[in-house]
Amino acid sequence: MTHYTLISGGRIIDPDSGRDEVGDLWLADGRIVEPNPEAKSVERVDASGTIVMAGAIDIHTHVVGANIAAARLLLPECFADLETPPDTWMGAPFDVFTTGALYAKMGYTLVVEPAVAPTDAVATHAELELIPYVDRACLCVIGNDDVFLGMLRDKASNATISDYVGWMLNQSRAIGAKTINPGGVAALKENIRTFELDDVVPEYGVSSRAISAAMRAALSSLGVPHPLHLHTHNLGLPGSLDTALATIDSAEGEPMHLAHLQFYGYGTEGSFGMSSGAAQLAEKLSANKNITADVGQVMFGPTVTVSSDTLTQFNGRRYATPKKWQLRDGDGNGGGAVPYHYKSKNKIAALQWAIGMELFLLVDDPTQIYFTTDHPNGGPFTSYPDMIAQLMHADVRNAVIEKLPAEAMEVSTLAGIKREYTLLEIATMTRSAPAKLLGIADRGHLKPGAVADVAIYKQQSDTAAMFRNAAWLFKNGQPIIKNGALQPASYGKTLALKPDHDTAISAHVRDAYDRRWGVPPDTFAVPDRLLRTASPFETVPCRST
Amino acid sequence: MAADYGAIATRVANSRSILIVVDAIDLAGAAAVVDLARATSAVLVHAQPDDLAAIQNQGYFTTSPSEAALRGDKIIVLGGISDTGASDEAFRRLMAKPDVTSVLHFDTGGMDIKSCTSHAVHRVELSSPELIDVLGTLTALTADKLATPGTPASSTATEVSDFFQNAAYGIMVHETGQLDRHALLSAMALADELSKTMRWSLLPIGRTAGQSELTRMAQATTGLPPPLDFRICRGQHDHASLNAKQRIIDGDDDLLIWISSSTDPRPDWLHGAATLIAIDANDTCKADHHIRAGIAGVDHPAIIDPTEISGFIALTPDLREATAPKPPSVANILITLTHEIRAALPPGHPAYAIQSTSTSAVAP
Repeated sequence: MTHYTLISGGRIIDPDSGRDEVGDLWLADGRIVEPNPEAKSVERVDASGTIVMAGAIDIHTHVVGANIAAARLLLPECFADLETPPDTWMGAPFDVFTTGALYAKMGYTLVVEPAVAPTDAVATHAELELIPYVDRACLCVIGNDDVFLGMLRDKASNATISDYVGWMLNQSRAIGAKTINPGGVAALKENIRTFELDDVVPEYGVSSRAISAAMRAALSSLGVPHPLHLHTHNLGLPGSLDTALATIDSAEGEPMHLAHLQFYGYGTEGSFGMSSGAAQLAEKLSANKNITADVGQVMFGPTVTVSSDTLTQFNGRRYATPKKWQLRDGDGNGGGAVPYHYKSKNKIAALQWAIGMELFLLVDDPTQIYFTTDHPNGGPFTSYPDMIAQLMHADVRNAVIEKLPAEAMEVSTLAGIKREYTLLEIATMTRSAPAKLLGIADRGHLKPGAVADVAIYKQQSDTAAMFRNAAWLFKNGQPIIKNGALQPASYGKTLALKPDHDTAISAHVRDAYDRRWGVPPDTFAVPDRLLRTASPFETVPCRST
Repeated sequence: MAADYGAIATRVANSRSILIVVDAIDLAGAAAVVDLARATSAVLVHAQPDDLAAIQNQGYFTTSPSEAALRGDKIIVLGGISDTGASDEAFRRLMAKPDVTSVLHFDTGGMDIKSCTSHAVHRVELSSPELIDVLGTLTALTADKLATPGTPASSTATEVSDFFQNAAYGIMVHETGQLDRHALLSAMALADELSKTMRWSLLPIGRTAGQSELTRMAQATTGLPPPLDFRICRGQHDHASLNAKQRIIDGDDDLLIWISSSTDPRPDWLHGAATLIAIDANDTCKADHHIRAGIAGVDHPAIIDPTEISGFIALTPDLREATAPKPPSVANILITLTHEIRAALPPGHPAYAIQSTSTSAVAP
């Protein structure tokens, strides 16, 4: 006999079905199902006075991997537990259990680690599978590695490059690919300290523009649903606005996702040589529907920046707070951790916060702009409820603005923006649109057939408080938060692609692997069975091409 | 074997203070060790923890063995190099690199590295304190700051300063455990100063097997790097007081659990422990209890860091022919043992509460 769960009387917010109404939701066998009034076995959850949404999805959050490992090693003083108030945390180095528990408490059911170096994929997945409560996925970093750059230099065919990218995605068990400061990371190894879109990597003679174009073409031909996830040049520098605008043009109408766009929203006007370029970026996005972006919102407080953009981290090490940092040149990409404190009295940090808010509020289409802090780079993911409140309520936003340096607000339009997000728009940005962007058809919505990932929040006037603690959270139809209480740990799946490719490519790269590491290429492949879970992976289909 | 587990579990459950010392280990073994330490409220340390403290103190720019072998052109060897360091694959590849333009060795005692390379080696013999002085003076000179003239450090720094110039990709090699902590911090500062105009990074070699895996897994599951003290609820990191050798000398613990999946001999200092349980791939017993473990990557597939430096962690296959029963992996031994210990613990022991919120809730 099928056992049903009936969530009754809640305000259901589901952009995919257009629902914003008080109603019921039926769950059975781990899925959302059509109503069945004849059902014999029904567990009823009284959801009156609540908001009901699909489980939320974070498309860009650094929760595991070599850079987070470096941050934990560097900052043992950041250790936190579930009982510690968020504003005392330095944020980054949550352990895997805490990461899963904190996401679940906010109603999240899927998190994507966006920067896994292929040579570190085995260890990274070993950590990922230990994150409880939520499903996981990762993006594989390609574009600065010698094999890829060598293929471009040697004018390898598009098919060969696609096979290599497909093989890498398979090896790394990734849901998509990310390119980080294309060419710039490789150039730093040649002691080059700045790198632009048309600069050329020494030895290889290929430009950033060519690297991104080759990656986009490869992902398209493989049918990878998520477009190239690009971390472009000049992150965090005044004038990076020009880089971002040029990068959008460089896509030439093809799909592309720009990571943490806020860090590229910087013009050079104003009394301290930095100004908001959010309006130009928003206008550009509106005119280029092929482009999506996550914001990478800055929130005030101490954190640690982690990135495989070694060029940016190297240049940023002088701002480390406290004064210690760790960087490494790695195979392809390296990475590093630089602790940092965003102080609200600091005009640069204040402007960064304002630019992020402007981007959210000036981009009309919530399917183009995504909800992230680039955890932990702009702040910990635990600040998401505060961000939602700031986006939904102009008075909450204005209360922050009042405390910020006037100089920063003079070069931002934020104070004049009246827009307030609706719950439907919040659900679009945190549920519906991320699922579509990742190509996951059965998540991010509440239509029959969807995985029964459902978050229920008690309606209250304090929006941040509402989104900070889900009253109920169902994962695959099972309650993992019940009446506000987190249940014993359960474990989800790691979502990954299996793109078709010519497996002969591994023989093609064998010499390169032998020369560099003295091992065969499949040494770095992530096995089906990892440390503890019998079958941790779930395959996400590629598009037919 | 089953009887041993029961006896060991009883012994552990009745102990006052437990020290777990880990040597070579794979990632699964490291995860199981962390669970064991948590379940038994133990102190967890790696056999060679020293260099981590310097990294935590200051951090530094490092490079990987393959990048060093690909790009390195100037090599500065800092401190003594032991036979272990000299046989390290990363060191051998770097020293054999044909396009290296210069090699300088600040030798504080160890083997003569001339036998490791066909390049000319400029060797400067000095003590550890002198090395710190020289590195500090070089940093000052590089930063165009005034260094005290006429001192031995100043003379040495002037003599060798050319070795640091015009590097395309300079490598400062040091062997883990061989450099004084302050010398390492000085080297980090020098590399950072040089890197304002050139590319210089450090390359640690000869790192003890298993350190990366233990650190990585302990951090992932607790947020903290070893050494870790689980005598409080969720673990506490403390480099200053959690030194294994000193704890044995001081008699802090009434039980020591030694864990390794290599055949290397156990260090002599272990035998100062009141009670020794050895779980390793060594055939010798010489312990109050011994469980023979398989060798990671030989007796069973294992996720290990073959270079022990760069975060290059790979899956290694099972290499031994299955003609006879193989010893179990460290991970399987520890998972079984942890279950036995939980069964032997009195009801209400904190380990029961911990189990419900830790990764131990995952079925093995």
